[in-house]
Amino acid sequence: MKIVICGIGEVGSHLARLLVENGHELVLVDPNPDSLSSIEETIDARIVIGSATSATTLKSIGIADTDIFLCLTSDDETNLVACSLAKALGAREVIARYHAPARQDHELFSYSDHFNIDYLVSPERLTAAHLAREIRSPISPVLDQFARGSIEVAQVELSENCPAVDFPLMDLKLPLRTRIGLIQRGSDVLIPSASEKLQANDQLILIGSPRPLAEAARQLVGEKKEKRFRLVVYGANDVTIALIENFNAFDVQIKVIEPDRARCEWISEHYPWVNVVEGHAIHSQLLIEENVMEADVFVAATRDDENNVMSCLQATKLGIRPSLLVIHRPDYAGILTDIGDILGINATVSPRIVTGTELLRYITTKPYVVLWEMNRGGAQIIRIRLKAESSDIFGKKVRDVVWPEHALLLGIERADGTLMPTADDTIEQNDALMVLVLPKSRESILKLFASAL
Amino acid sequence: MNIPLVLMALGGILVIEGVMLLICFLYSLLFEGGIRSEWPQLWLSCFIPTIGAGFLLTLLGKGADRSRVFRREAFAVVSLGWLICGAFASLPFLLSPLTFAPWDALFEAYSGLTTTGATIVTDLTLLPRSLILWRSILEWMGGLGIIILFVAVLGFFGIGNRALFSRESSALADSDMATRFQSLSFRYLLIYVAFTIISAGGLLLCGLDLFSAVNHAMCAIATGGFSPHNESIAFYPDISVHLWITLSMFVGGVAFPLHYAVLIKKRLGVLKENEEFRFYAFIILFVSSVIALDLTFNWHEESVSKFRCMVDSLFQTVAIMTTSGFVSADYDQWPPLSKFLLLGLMIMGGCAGSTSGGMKVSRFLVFGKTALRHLHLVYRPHLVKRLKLNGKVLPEEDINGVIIYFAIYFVLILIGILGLAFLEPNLRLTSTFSAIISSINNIGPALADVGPTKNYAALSPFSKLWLSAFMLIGRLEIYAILLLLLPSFWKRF
Repeated sequence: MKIVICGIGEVGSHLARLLVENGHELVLVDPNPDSLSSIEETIDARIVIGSATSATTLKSIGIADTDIFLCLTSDDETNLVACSLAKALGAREVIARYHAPARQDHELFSYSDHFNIDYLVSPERLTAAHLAREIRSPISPVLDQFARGSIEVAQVELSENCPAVDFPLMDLKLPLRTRIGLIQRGSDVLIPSASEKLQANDQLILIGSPRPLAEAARQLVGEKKEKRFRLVVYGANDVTIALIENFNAFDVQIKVIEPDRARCEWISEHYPWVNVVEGHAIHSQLLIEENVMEADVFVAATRDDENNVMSCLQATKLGIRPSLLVIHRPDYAGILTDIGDILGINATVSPRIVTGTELLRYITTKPYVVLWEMNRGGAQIIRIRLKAESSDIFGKKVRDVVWPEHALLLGIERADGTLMPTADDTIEQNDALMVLVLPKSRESILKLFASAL
Repeated sequence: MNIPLVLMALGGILVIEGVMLLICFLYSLLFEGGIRSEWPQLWLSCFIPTIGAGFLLTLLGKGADRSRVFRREAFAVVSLGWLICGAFASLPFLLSPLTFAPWDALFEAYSGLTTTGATIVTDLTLLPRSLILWRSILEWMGGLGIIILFVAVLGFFGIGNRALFSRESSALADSDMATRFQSLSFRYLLIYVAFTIISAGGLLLCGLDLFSAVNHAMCAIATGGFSPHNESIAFYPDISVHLWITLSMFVGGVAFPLHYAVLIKKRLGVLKENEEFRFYAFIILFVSSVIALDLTFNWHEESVSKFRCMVDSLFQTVAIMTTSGFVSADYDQWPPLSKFLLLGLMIMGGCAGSTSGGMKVSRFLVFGKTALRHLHLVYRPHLVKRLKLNGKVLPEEDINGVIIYFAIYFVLILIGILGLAFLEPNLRLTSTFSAIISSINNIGPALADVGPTKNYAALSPFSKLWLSAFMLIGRLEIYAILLLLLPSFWKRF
């Protein structure tokens, strides 16, 4: 495939290397010769110095026959405009990077539809989602979220004295807009039917809107009087904000430590329930004064790798076992994976790698995109865009479609938002369907919609 | 200082006052004998100099540079406007054959204009009805602020309305509600008039005659508290009158921007979201229940029924908190807890942007939140917390402003008490401090010697002027009057 990447920073260069390894034809565009010179000699790709928002530049690189156009600069406006322009000039798919808080209103308004962008990716959000996944805890963490944050995937484990055990699903009366998508029982993974009875030690994958989902998780596990989960985050930036929003619906006490006064005030203003402390988390005095050792998890998420490592070491010394950190530089990632155990660091998350992995899912010739994949068993949530001009399936009600076994329709994405469909909703042209499938049922789903792809 | 413009503005204010005097003249002409009678002639002799002075000032300010209206000019217009307006408002009292001394006339005029409602008239039945009407009109004008009337009706300025608007005490404007302040203040005026009419209509239904209904409605919506009767509201045995006036005062004590949002923009949700309104309503319910309990258990007055106690405690709580100062029961006889609660409510006052005086509920909310935050900061200095009011972030300068306001306010109260104690050596301690608190917060009746069944007639001339000054200081939220005393305020450079 022919792929264009604009904005060759930390994320862009990593992705470029991955794509070249996979044998794609690559064009790299950046207005700054310095950022290109470092990658120029080590990569087999065409290098163009120029602005991504200029039609001249885009035409000169042959945008019309480009399969995928990615704009990954640090500036949201540049990304939106460049992608919109590229699409208009004939790129098949366009992907834009955005920053989490700047587009906080994206549930209100669909920027991607307005600018004709196929996928918006936020490395900060992905990093936060990854961190949240790592923070396994008494509460059920959100594993993933998509459709602009309006649908989330969460996991709960049923113990023996949970109230839901031995009930068939249809008697559970879960909150609206939530579903039990998967049951993992021993080594089996199944998409349950309504008559399926829950058993102790089942791992349930729940899918739904954030708040009802949290409620459903609580209902399934029962109101356990667990102590509130305590989280300390060092650094207040886009990752922190996405992390706070990830835990929004849960009973989590969050303390943010940040040296910059203005950022502190921003967090305090928008998330009044978060404790904001001004200071450096590398000072052990401050950590002790703020009782950080009482926390369950320490996350270092500043933009400065050295500070992240040092603060994690301080936290470990104070006795917080799970400490996670964000690492930006590729040079450090290797070392920390090797000696992380010795240092007492539980996990490192790199925005570069997380984003690269996520984008690779989208860069595919297949008619669907894998949104989420379970570690074992291979259950997937896939997103199918119904782009065909016409098909006999358009206009049909969900109940009239003959769904294959082991497949569950989770959501329909439209220009005006995402809905969790009921049996009476219809399927329309240009919808994107989110379907939970097992490997054996994936092909039959694709066959079902073959005429509409 | 853009003096011609200030003169022109002051002229405009006097013209409006002249129009109000004309209303009294017409009333007097219709109901108190023909043009040859004593009272219509008196009104005419008040009307002519007022309107004359108004036109003269406007003439002097002709050709003023209308683009030069800054804070200095705005403050000057507001403070001088109230001073002059009050001076001319005292004319009918001064010229009347009812031997009003100059200080008495000034006291009564300023008390009306600042919506205080304190009086030096011992027997209101001796006053002609046109003069009673004049007292109510003064309160009604003062309620929404002469300046708003001025901006809305005349709209003299092209620019600078915004500066005037935000200096006016009862219109702490919610700046994002409308871009055109002239049309906004005109809408406030409409709401104000509508409320007055509804209130008067309700009182008519309760069985009052038209004259009393209109007078009470004007004073209740303005949260003023002048009543045509010596006994104030206690004159009426009918409970429905008490309850309707309670409601009128309550409405007057709610911020006008909020009324605007609910009534004109039809956004009912703002009532629930508005922290100040919620707190205002909560305080009224809470304090009136405490007072009712206090009266039930600690007050052994057999002649008053328990039900009556409840109504009275609600009425008096609303009357004091909205700084109206109507009286339905002699609360001076109530147990100490109730009296102290009422004294506290005097200081708190109604919502910012309402017709009431006092320090305003929102300032107390900000103060409370700041104090709580400071308690946390004492042992956790690194904590960062932004404070919000009504869902909006409070800038740190505003928080400092509120703290400074509190400090100046209490220093002023102290100075006022000391001054009054010096001027009135025979007054009881309770009377001295409650009189100052009642004046600076524009309530009217205080406690003991100047309590709800008494009046201010017995005070010395100097104390009457002293109290009038504090009424004005409180009504204009301190700064406007204090600035006049600042020499640098007047300097050219």
